Amino acid sequence: MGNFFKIFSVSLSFLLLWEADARSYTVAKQQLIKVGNATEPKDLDPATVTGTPESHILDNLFEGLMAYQPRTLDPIPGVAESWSVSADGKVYTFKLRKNARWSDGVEVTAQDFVYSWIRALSPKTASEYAYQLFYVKNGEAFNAGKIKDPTQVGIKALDKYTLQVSLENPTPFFVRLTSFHTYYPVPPHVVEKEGKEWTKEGKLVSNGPFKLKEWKLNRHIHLARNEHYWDKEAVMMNEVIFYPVENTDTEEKMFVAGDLHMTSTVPTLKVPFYQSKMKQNPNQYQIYKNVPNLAVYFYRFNVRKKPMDDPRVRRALALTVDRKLIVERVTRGGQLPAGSFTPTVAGYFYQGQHTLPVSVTPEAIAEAKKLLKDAGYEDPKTMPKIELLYNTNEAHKQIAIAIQQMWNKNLGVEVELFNQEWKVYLDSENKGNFNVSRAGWVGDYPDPNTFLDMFVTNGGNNKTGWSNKDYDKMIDMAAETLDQAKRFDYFQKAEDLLLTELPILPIYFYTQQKLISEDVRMLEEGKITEWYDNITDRLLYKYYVLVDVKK
Amino acid sequence: MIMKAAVVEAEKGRSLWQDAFQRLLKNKMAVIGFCYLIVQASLAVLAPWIASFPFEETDLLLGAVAPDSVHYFGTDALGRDMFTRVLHGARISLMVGILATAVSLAIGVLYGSISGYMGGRVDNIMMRLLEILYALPFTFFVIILMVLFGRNIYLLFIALGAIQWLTMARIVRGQVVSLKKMEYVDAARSMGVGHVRIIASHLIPNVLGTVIVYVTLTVPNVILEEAFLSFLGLGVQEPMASWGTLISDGVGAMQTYPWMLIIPCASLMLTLLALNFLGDGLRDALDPQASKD
Repeated sequence: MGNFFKIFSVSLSFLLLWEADARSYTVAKQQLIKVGNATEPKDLDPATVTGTPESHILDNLFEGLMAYQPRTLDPIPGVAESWSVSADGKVYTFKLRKNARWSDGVEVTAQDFVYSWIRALSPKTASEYAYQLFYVKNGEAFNAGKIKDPTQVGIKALDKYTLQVSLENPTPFFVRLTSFHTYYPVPPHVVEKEGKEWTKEGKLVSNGPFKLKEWKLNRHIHLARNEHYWDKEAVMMNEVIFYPVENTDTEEKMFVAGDLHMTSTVPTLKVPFYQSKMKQNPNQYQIYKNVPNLAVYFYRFNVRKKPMDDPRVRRALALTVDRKLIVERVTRGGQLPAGSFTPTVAGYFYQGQHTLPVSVTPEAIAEAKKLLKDAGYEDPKTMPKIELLYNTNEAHKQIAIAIQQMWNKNLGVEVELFNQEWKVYLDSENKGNFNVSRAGWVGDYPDPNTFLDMFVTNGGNNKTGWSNKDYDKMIDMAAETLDQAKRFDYFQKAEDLLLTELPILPIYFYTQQKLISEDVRMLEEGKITEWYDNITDRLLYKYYVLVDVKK
Repeated sequence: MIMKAAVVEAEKGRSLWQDAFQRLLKNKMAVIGFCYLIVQASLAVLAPWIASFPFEETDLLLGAVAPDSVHYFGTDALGRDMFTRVLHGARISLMVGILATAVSLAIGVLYGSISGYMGGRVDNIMMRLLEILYALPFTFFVIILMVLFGRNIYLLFIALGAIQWLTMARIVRGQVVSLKKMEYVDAARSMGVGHVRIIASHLIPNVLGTVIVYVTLTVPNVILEEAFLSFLGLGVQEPMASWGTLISDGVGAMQTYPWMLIIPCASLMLTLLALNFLGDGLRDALDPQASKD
């Protein structure tokens, strides 16, 4: 396969003819892809960033011990060539490949990983995502400052190419985790020299298929081929430009004008337009793509404040939101109404039981009214005012208006809407300045744990103030169990508790909608195929190729 | 004292104001504009009674429908009646226009006339201060106010008015500077009339003509600025609507549901046009010298 690609990339300058799908095309001379990336990244430090716009860039700059298969997300060898695990499932040994290099030519060693993980865990780094590394032995204690000596943390470089990781519990999804950005290596020789400035243009050194060429604040981030990447023969794309376009209408206009190959999303009100356009030309290579996502759209209830402190009120509100109507008439992008918290996505191995009804029936309304009455709010006017907070966005607004009306119509509850800019909104959520707030969560790795460990007592992303000892116990037990069936059983029990107490109101499971130029194709097993995505929308341009379609 | 009214009336000449009114009536566009505004304003005031749907009521099953005999202006993506929403939007937009203009009028006339009348160092300081305020970017000012005091529609009126008074103050000052040299002001002063009285009863009534013209031009400005702020998401909160928020919503639906954009835009445009015609007419009527060229 490697040989094939070598020939291939050498002959890129020639025009090759392909007759794979309906229309013939040639591989484009210029392999430069331009993509919309929603917002300006806060930083490009793999240890500290938490958002998807950042991860979309980092996934192309860096590579972890494991990489992932772009369609299935299964772990495939990255910097590590192979790995083995002890019988109790607690000690992992990774063998690193000898030809892994940083983009400045320096070797990537096991010691680099030890340095990077300790750095991510260090209280000095103050990473919000440090908890991703808490599975590593003593990781949590080191992060909390209870252990000062970094050698006590379960990460050891046995030699230059062997890394041994000891875990707190057998964590069946640990290998998957090593392809997540908090686990990416950072170059010690650059970080030590440049300090906080190391992610800046001209300084950042990475070990993935691409390196940072240019970072123009609020304009674009430009990546170029990393000639030192160990698998560079497999990479056809030469350059990637990320545009931080916040306004979805602007992004769509850029796409229509041909300034973008791929958008990050599609404006809600334009969805029917693109759907009908595709219906008219079913044979044309599709420009509108809709992929189910391992992500949930939900509302948080602040259980520290009245009236949301009462589970009966929360249940009454949950019963009177018609999620089916919302996905069918408001979002209209093929989303699934959520009757559970963990997403139901085809091909994803844990299916949460849908215990919440997704439609509103007269019986449900009667039940909800009774619950409100029991909670002491027979006249909803006596209820403390409910404020619904969302970050400024057209789609969130539409959903909030629809839900505001549903609560008003079904229960007579008055809700006031508040929108705030992203950073202000995050701040309000963290400080608990809300009654109900919009939220979305995309799985960091394909395991229910990434959704359910959010709501443990005082969890960093809990934000609702909700705490339940039985729930915490279930999540802990699941972490200690290797048997998948048993683990899922614990997760199901935890989720049942979550859906009874309802500190959250699941609304729908996302689909990832994009506009994609017909010039964008992808590589799979050495062949050029149509574009495809995975359920967490991690985009690896390593596997992308641009073509010229014959008109 | 009893008088024979008829006799006195026959002798009464036409005042400057009556003259101006006659001239205004001759300007067809201004009259049409004025009538349109009256109709628009009364529709806005009577909106809750005229509109056949509550403005916040959604009908998700219906969704967006084009204008028909039930929904005269169609519905938006959530099934809300656009006719109702445009009428309610007019309430907010016109209210902003009128209230913010009133705020700007009050501050501007007072500030300008004091500055112009006092002259000298006071005038100098007041005008430099005004120039400093001019230099402040208006959007930032409003955003800061919104962040500090939270979102509140009345605050929006005040914030918009607080920005519009700057030009008003300059115009008034210029007028006052030339008026205060008039003989009747000198006469009043020599009779020992106080500063406050001179400003209030001699100067302000005489700058009113110019001020009225400027007011009719300020109202559309303020409506546009509110639309701009709402477009940015700083204006009124859902489910309430102003023309600005309706247009902002409509832009996103331009290709799919064009009526969501066209109708509020047309309402805003017609009102602004009417106000501008009226303003032009008033200027010609009140200041016949200026319109000769």
